[in-house]
Parts: sequence; C-alpha cells; structure tokens
Amino acid sequence: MEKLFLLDYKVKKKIVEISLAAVGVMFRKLSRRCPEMKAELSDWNPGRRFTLGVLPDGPAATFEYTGTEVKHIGRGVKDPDVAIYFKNIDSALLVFTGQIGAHTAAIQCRTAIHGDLVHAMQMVRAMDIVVAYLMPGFMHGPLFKRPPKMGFKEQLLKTGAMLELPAGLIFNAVK
Amino acid sequence: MNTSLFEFYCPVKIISGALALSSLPYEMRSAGVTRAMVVTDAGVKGAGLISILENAFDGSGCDIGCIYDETPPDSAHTTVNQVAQLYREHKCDCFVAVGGGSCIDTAKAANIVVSEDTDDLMKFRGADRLTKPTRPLFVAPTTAGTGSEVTLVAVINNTEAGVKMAFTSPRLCPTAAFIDPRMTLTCPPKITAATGMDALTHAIEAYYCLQKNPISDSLALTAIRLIMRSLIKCVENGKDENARLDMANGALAAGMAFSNSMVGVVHALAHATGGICHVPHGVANAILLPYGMENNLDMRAGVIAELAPHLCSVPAQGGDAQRAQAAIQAVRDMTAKLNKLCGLPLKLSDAGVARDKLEAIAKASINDGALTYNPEHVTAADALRILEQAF
Repeated sequence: MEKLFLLDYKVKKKIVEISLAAVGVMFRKLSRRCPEMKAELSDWNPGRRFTLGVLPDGPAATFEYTGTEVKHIGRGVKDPDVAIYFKNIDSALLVFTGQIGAHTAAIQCRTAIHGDLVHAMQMVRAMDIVVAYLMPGFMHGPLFKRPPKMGFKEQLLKTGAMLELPAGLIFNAVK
Repeated sequence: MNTSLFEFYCPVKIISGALALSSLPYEMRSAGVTRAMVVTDAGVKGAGLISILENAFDGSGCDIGCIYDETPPDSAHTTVNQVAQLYREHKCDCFVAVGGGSCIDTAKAANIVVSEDTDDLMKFRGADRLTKPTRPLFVAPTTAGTGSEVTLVAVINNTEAGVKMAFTSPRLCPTAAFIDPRMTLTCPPKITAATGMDALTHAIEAYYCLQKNPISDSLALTAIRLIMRSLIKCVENGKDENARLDMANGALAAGMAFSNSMVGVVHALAHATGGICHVPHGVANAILLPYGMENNLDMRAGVIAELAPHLCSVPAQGGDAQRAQAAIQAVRDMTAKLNKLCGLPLKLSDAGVARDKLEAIAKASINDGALTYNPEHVTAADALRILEQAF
C-alpha cells in the first residue's frame, strides 16, 4: 500500500478526481432514496453549497442541496458555504482508498475546514452515510467509530446505487 | 502501514510566577510594539486589577493607548468591532487582554478585524482562514480555567444571527501569557470552582479523546496533578497565592493540552447547554464530566484507568474497569466537595436547565465539532441519554 503514495502526482490526482465524482453520484442517489440521508438533509437550507477538495490547487468538487437532492455541480471550488479540504493529495488518498475514515483524517489534522463549523459537522455526517454505501462492508471497521448496520433494504439500495455508478461517473466527469 | 499522525503547536511565551505582569513592557518591546489596546471587563476593573497593569507600565517607555472595560460575559461581535475601532482611533500597535475567556477571545477577534483590515468578522469563521500576520497579543488571565491564553481558538457570539462563531488559526495564539497569582486572588469561590472544573475537564478530555498524543498527554497529566492539589484550597482560601499559582499553571497546561488534542462529548454538551440555557461553561462541564467519562468507558476504559493514580488512590485489586470507575468516582467526589464549599451545582436541574430543553440541547450538541474527537460515536439519542442521566 505504501507504493500508492510513491505514484506520480498526476495519477494520484486522477484517483482523487474519480473518487470525488463517485461521491457526487452516490450523494445524488442517496439524497433521493435513503431515509437516513433525507433525515440528515432535513436541517439543510436549499441552495447550500459545499466543496470537497485538496489544497492548494488540487482536485475539488462542489455539491449543492436543491431542497430535494444533492447535486454535483462541477469540478473545482464554486463559491461554497462550507468546504473541507485535504491539506495534501496523500491525505486525500488515505481517505479515498479506505485506509482511514473521515473522522480520523480530521483527528490527524489532515483536513482544514473553511466556513461554518455547524454546517461542516452536518456535511461530515452526510458524507459518512455516502461512505457507508460507497465502501464494501468489510472495510467499514476502521472507517467508522460505530460501523453502520445495513439491513436488506439498505443492501438493495446499495446494489442499485453501485449499478448506476459507472454511468454517473461518466456524467460527472464531463461537468 | 501505520497511518497515525499528530500535530502539536504552541508558540506562546509563558511568564509565570510572582510579579510576572511586570515583564509585560519588556515583552512588548521585544515584539517591537509600545502602545497597548487593553481589553478587560467591569469586574476586573472593579477588583482593582487594572491598576496592577498600569503600575507595570511606569517608567517602561511603553504606554496604554486605550482601555476597553465593557466586555460582556459572552464575547459579542459588536464588542469586537468596537474594540477594533478604538484600536485604530488610539493608534495602538498591540492588544493586551486582562480577564477571563471572554476578554481574551474578544481581543483575539478584534485582532482578526484589525490585521485583516475587515469589517466582516463572519468571513473568517472556521479553521485556518486568516491570511495575514496578526498584531502581537499579550494575555493576563484573571481566572484559572479557559486556557484561552495558550489556545489558537476564539469563540464569538453573533448576536444578530444568533450563532456562536468559532475561529481557529495558529495566528490567533497570543505572543505571551502572564501567569501572575495577583490576578486571580480576587476571583470568588464559586467562579474559582467552576473555572477550575473547566480546566480539569480540558485535561481529562484531552487525555482520553482521539487526538491525544504523547506531548498533550504529559501536559494533561501535569494539569490534573496541579488542579487536584490546589482547587479545593483555592475555593477554601482565595488568598492562598501558591494554590492560585498552581491552578493558573494547571489551567494553562490543560489549555496547551486540549488546544492540540481537542475535547469531546462533555464540551459538546456543555457548549449546547450554555447556548440554550445560559449555564456557565465551567458549571456545565463540572456537571457533565463524570457522565461523559462513563459514556466513553466501552472504548476507552484503559485510558481512563490511567488517570486514576492522578485523581485518587488507586484500588489495589481489579483491572482497567475498576480503576476507570475509581477515576470517575474521584471526579464525582471533587464536585461534591465543591458543592458543599460553594454551592457548585451537581445536576443540570440544579443549574436551571428545564427538562423540556434537553432534546434541543441534544440536537444542538451533535453539530459541535468537539464530537469528532470523542472516542465513542454520539448520536442525538446518545446525547439525550447522557443529559437525562445528568439531569
């Protein structure tokens, strides 16, 4: 796994870009279908924008809550209300390859938050739901303090979301 | 692959002990400044502590440009703008905060306004948003609790938006902190108890929360030793200078520890309890600390057990679970003693919290960043359960 971090920056950047696009696809699906995500988003104001990215000028993606769903509105930083940035590309890789969870990245000072901290906490909880659906169950242990319990309905939703992922990735890649 | 990593940062020069504040002008000149904007409150001024500061400037070649003594108990953004305005009008070149957390945080936030040359503090909310070097900030705490004299955090109440804004940046760290026992001698027993328990909570949560590291551990344990040795003495006899110095150093060490390892569920709940029911932060921490420790027993019994020798006599028999329970009981014994000595509340109901507010407090607490660092995952339901236990 250490060899991953010796890859060329361009390769690492591409891995993170694809991961961000996948987060966008999953966010949209879950914001429409997942009751847990809908409950989490119920406190969000429509139009709220958030960015996930890598400092200083690394890959980034911005998302917007429309009131009914979370949309990937494109690559880059697009006037977000709150943003969570990885301090370097290696820290982003640790998270996007499932080696550490988002909370561990924060604990290890690998991320910086720009904007309202309450919104950031809400964003992190929503991200946790996305990660639970995006990552296979056997990887959940180190990613969560309390790994989510996923029953039949959740597994069904996860399967559906994974089937939609390739088309969604292509769609998000051209934005 | 071992993926662990920690950061530790504390660039604050510490001058601690007898007549420490007399060194302020020397430190100002060392930082290349000579004209101070003093931020304090009416209580500090009324206790005569500003005259100690003024005496320190005699014959020093430095002077006080302006004294602002109307800082409210909860630092407000309007106050911050007023202080920044006075700083500019009186052509000051540094800030001196004399007081508790509110005065220190007000000075830190006014420093943002002045240094970033802005009139919109809101733009700088969050972490690492400051782009320009800040002006030198010197701090003389008059309570032993918040640790704000060594932290990179400021919390300001936006009274218009009804939210507490948190700012964190290494640039917010003071230039120097003056721990002068003269400055805490007049602190009343109940405030001494509440702020002291705030410091103990910083140290204990810093020790068992997830961002702990070897350096913060050593500071947290030092803080616990000093606080356990001297908090009761300070409440019994506020004029005991040695005990006061212990407490001030303990609060400072706890501040350095938690500024780098952060805090957990106790602080998340205390922030929300303060925001919704206006319970003083130290009082809320004192009430919630044993319940927060219990909440983390499943994940952290071994680490909490390590605290036992520093909090009480360790049980001869038994494993981590018994020692962790002994540590929690020692905290309960401490708050019970403080309750007898000065009426420090033991339950949320005693502190004026209504039962019908618990749900709102629980809901607000899960949006507090401190929960990120708590070992146990905490949902709104978990938070409500802890609050009900503490009610």
